[in-house]
Amino acid sequence: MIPCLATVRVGGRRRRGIRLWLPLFLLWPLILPLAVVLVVAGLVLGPTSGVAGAPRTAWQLASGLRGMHIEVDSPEVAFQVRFI
Amino acid sequence: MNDNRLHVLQMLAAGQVSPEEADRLIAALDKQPAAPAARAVEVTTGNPRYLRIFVEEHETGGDAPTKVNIRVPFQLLRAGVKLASLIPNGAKDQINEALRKNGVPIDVTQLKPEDLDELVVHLADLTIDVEEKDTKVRIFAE
Repeated sequence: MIPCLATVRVGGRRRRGIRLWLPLFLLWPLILPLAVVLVVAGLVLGPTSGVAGAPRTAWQLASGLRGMHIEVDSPEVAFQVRFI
Repeated sequence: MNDNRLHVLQMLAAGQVSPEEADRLIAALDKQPAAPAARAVEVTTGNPRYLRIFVEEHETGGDAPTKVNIRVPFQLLRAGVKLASLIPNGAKDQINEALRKNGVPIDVTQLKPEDLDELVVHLADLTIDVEEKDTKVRIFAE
């Protein structure tokens, strides 16, 4: 399952930062036409072409993002990204 | 009936052990099935899902340390390797050449998802701890 939500926090220890909740599920309908085009291109060009496996790989890549967590906390800047 | 139990009964029939000794041996054999079950749990729980990287750097100024905490799902790593299969062969040669020039003799054409799966399985027991005067790095799978 691809991530539904991403949280981004940017700030610092000495200043108030911002925290964003990004609803990634709203992007799914935008990605859908691209996925359809890739699937059709894969069918037309044949299974041996690299395009045929592209939608599946892209889906696996997007699914793999779920659970990803990057956090950097330094005196100058604090940054955090989470995919839920 | 398993082979060990049959062997004990054969020893009893041959008179090599007394009935009491055979009883003790069979009782000991009855306790054995618990071990494989425990091992199965270990294997299940030992399958890592994330690669964790912690870096902590103490600065000389007396500030609080800089910390980096990264959690990468192994599924993402596997998908990344699959993505490499979409790279055209000409580009792979260029990547190999660039890696070789930088002292990393890895052939990306030989990198397969199955290999990474095997690597992930063996990563379960791996922990890398680097501790220097002002820097601490820890990499492990969980």
